[in-house]
Amino acid sequence: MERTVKKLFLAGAVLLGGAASFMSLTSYAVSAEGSGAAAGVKSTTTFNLSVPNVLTLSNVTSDIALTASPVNIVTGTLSATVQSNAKYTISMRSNQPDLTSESGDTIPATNNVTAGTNGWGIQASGQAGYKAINIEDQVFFSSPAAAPVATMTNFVVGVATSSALPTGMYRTSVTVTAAVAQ
Amino acid sequence: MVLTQPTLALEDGDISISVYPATQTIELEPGHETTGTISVMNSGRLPFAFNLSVAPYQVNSETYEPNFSTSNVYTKLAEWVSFAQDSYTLEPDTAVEIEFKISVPEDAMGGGQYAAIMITSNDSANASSPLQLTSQVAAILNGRVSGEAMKPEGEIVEQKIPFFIMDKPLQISETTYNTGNVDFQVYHAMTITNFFTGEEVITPTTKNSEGIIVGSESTMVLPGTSRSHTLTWDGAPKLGIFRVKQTIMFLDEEISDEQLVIFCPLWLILGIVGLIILLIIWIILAAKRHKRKQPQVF
Repeated sequence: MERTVKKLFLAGAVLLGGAASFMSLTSYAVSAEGSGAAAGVKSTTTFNLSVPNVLTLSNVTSDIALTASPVNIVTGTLSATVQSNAKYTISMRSNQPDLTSESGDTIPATNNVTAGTNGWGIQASGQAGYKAINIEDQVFFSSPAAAPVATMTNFVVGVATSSALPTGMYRTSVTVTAAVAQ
Repeated sequence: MVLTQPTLALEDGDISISVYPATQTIELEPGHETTGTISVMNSGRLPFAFNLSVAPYQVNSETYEPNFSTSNVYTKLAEWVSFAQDSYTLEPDTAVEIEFKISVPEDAMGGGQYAAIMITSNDSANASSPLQLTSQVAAILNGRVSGEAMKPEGEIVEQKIPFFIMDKPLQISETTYNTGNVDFQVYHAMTITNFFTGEEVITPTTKNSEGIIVGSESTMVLPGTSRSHTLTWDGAPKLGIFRVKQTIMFLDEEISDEQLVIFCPLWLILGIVGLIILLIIWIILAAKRHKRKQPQVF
């Protein structure tokens, strides 16, 4: 029994030691500084240059399906493109959150868009589940970094209707706001 | 059943609104007028009309996401801003410099004031779409009203450097609370040194492969809010011991904390524990054997 335990211990130690030695001890490279030889007299002058935040919002568009359905959640895409030299956010709001027809029938904005029940919502970028738009700005996307190149963000818009909803053109206005994240 | 008209999306690059500076700090004096400017540029293919308005600017304390609806003592600036002209039309590849005036009341309290100039255009709306879209860009104004009442103050609420990490990146964090009435910048940095070799693997100026600095960052903390910030070392090894130094600077304060951090995967820990157990069993069995071999004296 003792010999067995001894063998197990020694084998385990060898295996663990071997496995640990093969592990990558990756060191993160420090960004390279410039180098080079310079001859002659050197003097330095300091320039202070203030670079302003520049923010561009373009291509705010929506692509919603032609016909809503009482069986499925019909989805479309709302897109916005931002170029920014700092982190930024995309917020949305509506003065009239419900989709409303000319006769006053509504499809309410809701967090819980369910097939067969009147409701519509927008998915925040990278998240499951819908978010109801309301009269105050809500952030639907926060960038993890600046966007030196124009970057499009897509938001899924979901609309569900019941079979009892009257026909008509249902619409609302949505304000899409881009702002620098301070 | 709901029917909608076919939607006609604008082409890419048709309507493009640029604003700069998108954020600026302005010094204000009670009872005085100050002027400032923002520039709006049409970088798209189609002309667009836009309107100017001013909204309060605050943040949602936990997420620090912008809030353009909440009014409080720090958003009076939104009432002080005015424009000589508040609607424009811009042709493609043209820009306009817009001057705004800030009339600060005599009785304005010293401290921070925050607002956002909104540049709003309805020209991205499509009449046949169920969603009538309005494009809006915010140019944030961070005002500083001078006066004895200006009180820049803050405190560190939390600092975290983990001691032991299994199979995940290293994250160090701090939370700063602004106890004063004016915003300030918090500089958060980390320096990571290999415990055995002394090599600095991360410094405050280290960049990742995309050129983004990962070793430090400055963030703004608005009055009456607390803000958390995390620095992450994604390239951390699975095994090793490192010395991690965290530096936090704000106002006149500089706080540093240093700690050893051990990186070890779970399977290695379990293996070491298993070896220790085997060693203990071996020692016990060896001791028993030794005891059996000893001659018994009667």
